[in-house]
Amino acid sequence: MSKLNRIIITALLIISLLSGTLSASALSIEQEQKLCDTGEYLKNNITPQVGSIGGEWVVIGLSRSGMFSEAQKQAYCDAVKAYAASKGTNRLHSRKSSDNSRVILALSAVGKDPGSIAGYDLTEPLADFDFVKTQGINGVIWALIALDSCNYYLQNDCRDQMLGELLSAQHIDGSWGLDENADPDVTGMALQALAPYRKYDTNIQNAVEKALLWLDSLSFDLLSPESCAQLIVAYTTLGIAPNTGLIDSMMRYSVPNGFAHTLNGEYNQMATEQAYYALAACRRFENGENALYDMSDVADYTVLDLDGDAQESINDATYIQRYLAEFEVSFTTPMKRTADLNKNGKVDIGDVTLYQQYLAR
Amino acid sequence: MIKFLNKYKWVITGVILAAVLLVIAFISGGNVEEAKKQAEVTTAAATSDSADTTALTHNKIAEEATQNSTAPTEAASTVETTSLNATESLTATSAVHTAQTTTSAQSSAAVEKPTEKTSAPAAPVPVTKPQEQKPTEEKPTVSAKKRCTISISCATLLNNIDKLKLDDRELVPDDGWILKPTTVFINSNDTVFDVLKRVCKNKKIHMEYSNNPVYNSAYIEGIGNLYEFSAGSNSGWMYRVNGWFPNYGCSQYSLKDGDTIEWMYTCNLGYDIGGSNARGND
Repeated sequence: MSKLNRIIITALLIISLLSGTLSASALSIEQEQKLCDTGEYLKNNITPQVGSIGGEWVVIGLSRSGMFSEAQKQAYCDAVKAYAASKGTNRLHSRKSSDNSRVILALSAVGKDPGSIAGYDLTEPLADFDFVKTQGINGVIWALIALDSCNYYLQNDCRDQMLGELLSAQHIDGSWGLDENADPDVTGMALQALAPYRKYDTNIQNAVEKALLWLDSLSFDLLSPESCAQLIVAYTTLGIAPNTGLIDSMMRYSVPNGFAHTLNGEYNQMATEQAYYALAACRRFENGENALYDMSDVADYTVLDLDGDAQESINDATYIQRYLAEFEVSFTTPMKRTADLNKNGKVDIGDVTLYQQYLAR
Repeated sequence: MIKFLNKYKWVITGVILAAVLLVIAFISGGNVEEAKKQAEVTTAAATSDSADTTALTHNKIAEEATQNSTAPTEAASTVETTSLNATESLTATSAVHTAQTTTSAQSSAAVEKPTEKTSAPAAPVPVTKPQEQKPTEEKPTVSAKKRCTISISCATLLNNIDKLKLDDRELVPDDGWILKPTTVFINSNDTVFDVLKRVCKNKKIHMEYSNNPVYNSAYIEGIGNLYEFSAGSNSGWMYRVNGWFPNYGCSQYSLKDGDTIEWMYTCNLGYDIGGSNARGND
């Protein structure tokens, strides 16, 4: 074989190896580039405030893709403090718990405790089921995601009620929506909220599976970029690689610096922020990192209080044992999630041992 | 002398008559001017507060930056003040609706008359015409002033009173009208929001709004102390103009002369008022 032939063959081999690797990843080169470019744009052009655009979603997206500087994180925290102080109450909106939820998520993403911001505990309003429920299913979904993001411990937690509410709101076809109409957007978000609890409750597991079946019946072409984004985050949170067709569908809305809301539309801030964090979620999934909203890698505010005395003590380890022995103790789904210290999807004696070790640390 | 008068008595009578008619014409012409001035003053008062920044509610609206829930949900969710196609009768209230204009407190009634009438009697006397023309030519602004009709209804709550908290139920007027259709004068670049804000202020109707950058518009949180979510998670305020629900925020709708604005409370994302196609970012 001539030298030239050998070179050619080697080159071809290398190329095919590379393309083999590339096709196995969730993001194509173009999509990865889009993630970088959009991140650069957001990082350099937005000073996040408290707000549904130009705010928390930018903080979350950039933080979870590692592009948010310490200075920027600090600036955002200062903005939240000022905002909370100006409100004069820990309810950032008198009727919408989602404002609190959104801010809690951003604070978790930057590693800041949402329980003491300018003297306010921003998580406390989420223990009021009536307050959360006023906003409807949206309120319930985001309260669940927010509290779970940093494993936030709340006395008088109503997560169990919220999970029940979410399950009963599921439509017969497996979808969710703001009313009786199916909405891919809301379905995606409901899945994100249920994901952390599905191993601890068969009803939740069944609900998730039903929703996934319904999603399989959707045609990606008909989805808005925001719906695509929510579904991408849902899949990655569930540990499922998103269908490349779904990501491609979202990429159709790509415009310079970000994304549009309609095909052939102009740059739209909301579409850009959602598509950006969806791409970030994909990259995290590829790299085996925590799900987008699982901030336990940067923030964990859990208090392992299982017996309800607001303390961590040997009594809690005993409480787990009594639960295992089915001795007058029942655990709600959120309690099971908290008690599953070894993260093997169930509460077992290994968790008791870990708890004892935890106390001895 | 008397002979002179006798000889030309008809001519003299004619001249005197003409003079009397002139005087009458002149005097009533002066009245038209005054009436118009009157109208201008009242309309100026009604529409003067465009520069006014006093908050309508206890909220510090200038600093208000509350947003509309979280972004993803906005893509599909919250009830916006925007809406779509109408016809939907306000059913029982439509009868009340038509009875309306008489009760409108605005100066419209006072104003309308002068624009129609400049003194007619002077018609047969050509000399008077230029003077007649003058009042209308000097004051073109009154007849060119834009008007619109605005109403605020929470009629959908009449059949859904149980969705409200006990304390809120007394907020619902018996006929569902928080503001019956009222004709107001508007400035040339007024938006639906401008008119709502002004009318609520003048009529001392509670109105609360926040600034929503997602829609680049004010977002109406509550009117008459009835808020978004007061009657469940799918309830809130929407508006339509000339029977059509615009699919964007009320600060973005610029009004034309004769437009009819209707603010309506929905209990289920607009379906009950025919506006289900305008739910914001869909």
